[in-house]
Amino acid sequence: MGLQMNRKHAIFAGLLMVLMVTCIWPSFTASAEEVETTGPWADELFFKIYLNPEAEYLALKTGDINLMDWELPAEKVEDALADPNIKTDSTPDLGYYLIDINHQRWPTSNLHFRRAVAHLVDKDRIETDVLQGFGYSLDSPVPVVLGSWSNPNIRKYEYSPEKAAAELELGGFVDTDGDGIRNDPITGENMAPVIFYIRLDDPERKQAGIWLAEELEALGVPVDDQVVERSVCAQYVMLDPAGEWNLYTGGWGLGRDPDHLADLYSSPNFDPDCVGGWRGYNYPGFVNSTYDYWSEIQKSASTYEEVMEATFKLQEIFAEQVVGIPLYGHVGVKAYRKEWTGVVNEVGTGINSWWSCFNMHPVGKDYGGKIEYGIKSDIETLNPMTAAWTYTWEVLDKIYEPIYRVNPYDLGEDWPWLAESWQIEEWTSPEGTPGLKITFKFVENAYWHDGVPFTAEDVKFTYDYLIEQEIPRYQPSVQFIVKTVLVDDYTLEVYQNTTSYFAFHYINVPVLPKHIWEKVGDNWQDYDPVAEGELIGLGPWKFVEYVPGEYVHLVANDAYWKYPTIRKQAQEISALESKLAELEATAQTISELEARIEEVIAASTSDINALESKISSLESEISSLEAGLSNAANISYASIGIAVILGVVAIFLSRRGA
Amino acid sequence: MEMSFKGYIIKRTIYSLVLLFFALSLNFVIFRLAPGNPIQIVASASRLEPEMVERLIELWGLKEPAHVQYIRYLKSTLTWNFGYSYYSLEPVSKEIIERLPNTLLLMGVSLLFACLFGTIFGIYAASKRGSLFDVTSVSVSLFSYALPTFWMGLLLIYLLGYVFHLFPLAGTMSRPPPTDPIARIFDIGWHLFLPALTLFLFSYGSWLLLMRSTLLETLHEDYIITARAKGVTERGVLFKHAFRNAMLPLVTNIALTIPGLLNGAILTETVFSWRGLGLYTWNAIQFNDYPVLQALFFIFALVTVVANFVVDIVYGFIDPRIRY
Repeated sequence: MGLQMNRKHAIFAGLLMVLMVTCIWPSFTASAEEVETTGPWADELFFKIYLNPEAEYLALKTGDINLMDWELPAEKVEDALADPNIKTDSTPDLGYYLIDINHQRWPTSNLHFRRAVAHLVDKDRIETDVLQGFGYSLDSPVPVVLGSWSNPNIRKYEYSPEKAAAELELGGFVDTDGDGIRNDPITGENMAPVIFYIRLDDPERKQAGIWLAEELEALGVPVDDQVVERSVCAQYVMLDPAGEWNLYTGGWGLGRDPDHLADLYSSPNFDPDCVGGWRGYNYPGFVNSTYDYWSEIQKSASTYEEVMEATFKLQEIFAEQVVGIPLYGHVGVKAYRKEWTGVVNEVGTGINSWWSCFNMHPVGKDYGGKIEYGIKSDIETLNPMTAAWTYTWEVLDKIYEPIYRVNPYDLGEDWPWLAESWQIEEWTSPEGTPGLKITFKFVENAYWHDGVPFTAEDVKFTYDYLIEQEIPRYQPSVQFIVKTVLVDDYTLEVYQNTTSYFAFHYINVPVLPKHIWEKVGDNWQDYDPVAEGELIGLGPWKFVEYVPGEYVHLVANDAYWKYPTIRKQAQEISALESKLAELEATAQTISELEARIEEVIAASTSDINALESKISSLESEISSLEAGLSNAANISYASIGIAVILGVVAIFLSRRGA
Repeated sequence: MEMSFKGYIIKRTIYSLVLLFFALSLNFVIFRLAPGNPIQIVASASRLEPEMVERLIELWGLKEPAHVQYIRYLKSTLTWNFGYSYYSLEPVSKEIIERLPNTLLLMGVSLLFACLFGTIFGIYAASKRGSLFDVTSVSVSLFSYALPTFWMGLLLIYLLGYVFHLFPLAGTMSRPPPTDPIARIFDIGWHLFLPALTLFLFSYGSWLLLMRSTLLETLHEDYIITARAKGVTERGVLFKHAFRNAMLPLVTNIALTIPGLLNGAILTETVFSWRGLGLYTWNAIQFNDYPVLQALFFIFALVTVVANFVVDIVYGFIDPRIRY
């Protein structure tokens, strides 16, 4: 990957910046009206598995697929922009990359040293030369993709070797003996090398790390840089209680909430003895009571304003204390075929969002078509209890429904979904613990894919099941739920023993069908819903088939509770048309039958007439015969009479002659 | 000879079992010494709470003493119960069985053709030593062997798949596949062609060169000269005399190659999205998925030991000179 800037790269990077701005800016300003909340609009959804991104991209170009999951690398973006059959869109990832700093080891435990390191990171250079338009520099660990949570007013560390040198001197790291290597203020000796673990497997972080190491060396700070694989980095940075490292090119994927500030950097999450198998999320070992205080506030506050204040404070402390050095957030460019419309460029996800699959349909048609979505990894299982892989959930989240949805253009806004409304109230547990009571009112027209009606009991069952079975994946979601109370068929109360504003976000789990999962019981780990024919959800897509390593086939759920009216009407019209066609066919059959009957009757009539005339002629014949017979009889009688007379005469004559 | 042959078999069997036990034990030790920890990978990927991390450690027995883990490992391996993948939480044996046919098909077909064509061309090259065919075939073999498989695969996909639309770009079947069984077989064959061709191009050269060099050596033996002097045709010399002796290293090579049938070809499987054991192995390495790695390495070791054992026996039949 060429890291030397030339004119062509500069122009290309500039074009990409424009692309980014024109694509990202609307993401922050688009309104809910631009997202269709009914669907699905396509007929089928085919996930095609490509383990090789090259093949997936070629499949997009040939039209074998019409939507890609995979971010295009720089060399492909140019090609995609030039291809008239392909459209692209970009979005910032939900994540950030930074230089992690070990606060438990000298000299990075020294604030001035850390500030010096911060002044040696040339973020502009990283942005243009390394990211080349596919990212943006960060000053805060809360990237702008998280919207208003990001504090713009924190201390910033501009790239300045002079300021870095000044900070080192403030910290006492001065080259007292003039040998070009700064001296340790505690020992007076030359500084021991700063141990810097640089990830080999990520070219961008690798380059940023190498440049930083060079800057430190140039300022007389010796560096022992270890450019190694992730697993080796993890061994020394995260798993070793000795913690023999100073700097590390780290990075984190984020959720929609900024609670990672508390999870990753508060002292309760630092496990120096690796009791839990590793040093904990706070493996840098940052221990600060003020930070801990505001972390506690952030995690426990129940109002948006309180949480916002705590989040801003945490970012201020993060910057002041140089807990870490945020480097950049990544921007991905993804592509799809131009023959499709309805694509939703969701913040943090991109065009291959849930909403895209929900809204997409062919250009020039109101609905229909088959979405062929390329994904770069096989899915591991379709059991929602054990599925952990991102791509598995690409499939499962089309089949299962959550309780509410998030505005794809504003991650801070929750939209009613299965829960058409909710109310959050404060509550105190019998033990005196302050908490929250959330009353959900659910929709009444939703049905499971097998036709069973959805009720609040399914949601209650889901929470109770996840708690009782202690399913690892869902423990963070249900950890604060104390009890669930069914009010009526469509109303459920959920009681939590926390007042955290984020707790409402934790409990948004996929709802399970009670009538299926109550039979599974504690056999959830071995249960295979596909084999049992029970991959049943409430979602807009119904499962058809999964061939491992090849594809997953879903079809539109035409009984979906948010199925578009126009499609329902079209369905009804289609049904009526079919019925009409049946009736017409029946009517035609009747006419044909009637005609046939006429024919038969006509034929029968002529046959009857023919028979009648035949009968008449026969009767005549019979009459003639009878007459003949009668005459014959008369003649016979006459003959007999004459014969008798002649006989008598003969006898008389013979007797007379004798 | 019967008695000594039986004795040889018994000796080889015992030897193989010892070897297998050693491989099993080494299998266990290696993964525990490797850097990285599956719990940390899963925990950091899933943002699990410490209590849940603790529970996973208990569930997977990672806190038990090494000797306890070892005994449990031996028992389960020898009963073909490989446990659950740390990564997918699916039974390992089920995942292996799902992928095994694809790997056997790809590797088997490419090995068969590589061996067949390599041998035939090797014989011909040896018989025409110094000819244009000989020089060309040796050069081409070395060249294709030197090319990276992933590069060859991508090139084939690009040219034959994308530019000329002759072959599919990925997968083991069309998506969705044809329903007719005959059409389905042809469909699989159509998808198999490019990955098998890639592996064939990579590996046939080694067979050609092996056959050629072995045959060249054999053709200079005295008995070959005698055969020619006796008036045996060149064809007869090649196939009735020389090839039989040159075949022995070939048989050895087959035995060494058979375990490779199960290794799969990680790069080729990735490039062609061919769902086999090679990629499965690679993913397991990346995620320190101990149960999967232990199962796969055990199977590889088992097949290697058995293949060598069989070859040793077969040798005794094809080479009457061998005495025990």
